[in-house]
Amino acid sequence: MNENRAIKKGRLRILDPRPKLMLMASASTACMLTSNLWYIASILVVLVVTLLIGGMNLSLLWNRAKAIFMLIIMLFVIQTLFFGMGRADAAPLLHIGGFGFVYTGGILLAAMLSLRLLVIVFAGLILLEGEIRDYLLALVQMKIPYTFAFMVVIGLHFLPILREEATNVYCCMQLRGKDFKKLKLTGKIRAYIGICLPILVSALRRADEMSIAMETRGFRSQPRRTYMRQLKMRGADIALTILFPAIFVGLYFLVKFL
Amino acid sequence: MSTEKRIPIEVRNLTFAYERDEKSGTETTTTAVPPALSGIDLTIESGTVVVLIGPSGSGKTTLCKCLTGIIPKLIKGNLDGEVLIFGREIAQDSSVEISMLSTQIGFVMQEPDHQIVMTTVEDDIAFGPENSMMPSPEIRALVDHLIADMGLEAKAETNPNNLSGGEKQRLTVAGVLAMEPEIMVFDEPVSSLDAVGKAHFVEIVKELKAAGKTIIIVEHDYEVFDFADRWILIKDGRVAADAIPSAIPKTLLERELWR
Ligand SMILES: Nc1ncnc2c1ncn2[C@@H]1O[C@H](COP(=O)(O)OP(=O)(O)O)[C@@H](O)[C@H]1O
Ligand SMILES: [Mg+2]
Repeated sequence: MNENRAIKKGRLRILDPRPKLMLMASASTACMLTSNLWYIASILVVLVVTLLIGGMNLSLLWNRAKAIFMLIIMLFVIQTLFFGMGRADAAPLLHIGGFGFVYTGGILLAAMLSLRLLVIVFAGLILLEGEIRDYLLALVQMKIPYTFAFMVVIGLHFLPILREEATNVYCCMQLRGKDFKKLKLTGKIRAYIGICLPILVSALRRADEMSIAMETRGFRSQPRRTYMRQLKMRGADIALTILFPAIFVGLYFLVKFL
Repeated sequence: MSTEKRIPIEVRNLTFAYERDEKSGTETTTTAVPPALSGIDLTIESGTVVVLIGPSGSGKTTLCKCLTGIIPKLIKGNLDGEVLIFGREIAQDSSVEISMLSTQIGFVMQEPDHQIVMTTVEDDIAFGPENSMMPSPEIRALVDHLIADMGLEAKAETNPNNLSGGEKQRLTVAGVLAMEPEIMVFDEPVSSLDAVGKAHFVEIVKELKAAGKTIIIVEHDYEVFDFADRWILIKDGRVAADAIPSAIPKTLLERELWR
């Protein structure tokens, strides 16, 4: 999807989009259906193993998801520290100046939420190892209405453009002598509004013109459309599409009876 | 089809004013907006290259949108007069749909980024034919042909975001040509290109003309198109001059454009 692909021509990239979509869907559903820590952790292990077998380089993986990992760690700490504060029915593990911090319940809840977030992040990382154009075809071949499939795809297509525009505006402001590092919080907020407004305006204009351009090229003039390319599932693709959800079902019973 | 020569474009006494959508409280103030076009009469013969010249805000883009049916089908306003494409009235007749027009008149808008839809060059060219339900093998052949014509062979699977300005523009031209229209309208195609890009675009226009297409080009940089059949000067929404390039005094154009 972007230039610095973590896997150049790795196994995951060659894989049909449908097993990847199935993996994403079944992993995120499975981790929401139960609050069993061992089960959610085992889903995470499956995802990591898939990424490693798929050829993902660990240091690149870290680079890609660094910010999100940091955020998850921060959420975990905040959750553990403050969950259950002031509750009479639980005994705090830590006492500072008459206040109780860190409860067993808090740690468990924080661990569960963090693990769930990690599952979603890793499933997303697996999806990133594919082309937007293939997901469009996959969605359409799965009988998703094409107008909906295009909405998703055009949204994904626009994200990098928006980011580029944001960098442009940011650079323009710096060139005009605005030093973001020296600004106070209110000044920073004002400066970021100054970045977001022009981007919003140009995004709206672009969306307007884009819809006109699409209509002049016949979009939605027919109830169906044809496609230049066709995706074909090979044996391995079909097997994995079935295997991924089967693994999660199997793990569920394994964890339950262990 | 009759034996008489079909006239690609006829505009009769066309006047158009954009609607101003002002919402001041509860009252709807219908302030009179000065028309962007007033009393345009224009006939464009088959196979000709016409250049529309005029200062910024004179109504060139608005005229293009009227010719391609975008006004009034997609952008509303107060429209008077008639626009005929190959003899069929399109501005007043509400049964004419924009997708029917796309196989007759193609419009390459000013901003390439605003009309590139798909995430690879070949997919974007295929977008139009796919919409009109062309069978896959035929689309493949058409797309490969257009990619070669526009010199984009090495970029077929590239993300359009990573193309140069000139390449982006050739991609949008290919995307519109894929609808196989007989008339092509270009809005300021070369003003943001370097000398090489301009020369490349001029070659494309000459090839399209040789293929029998009727071509309308809006451009400040009119001297690039000295081979055109007509230069038309638009001023304040009216046709101020209309002649072969050599018959229009350069001093007049310069005075009108840079005043
Ligand atoms: N979408 C719009 N809504 C309202 N007014 C517009 C719109 N587009 C253009 N105009 C106005 O119409 C006039 C002609 O604009 P335009 O056709 O874009 O000129 P040109 O392409 O020659 O620069 C200008 O005064 C402009 O402000
Ligand atoms: Mg214009």
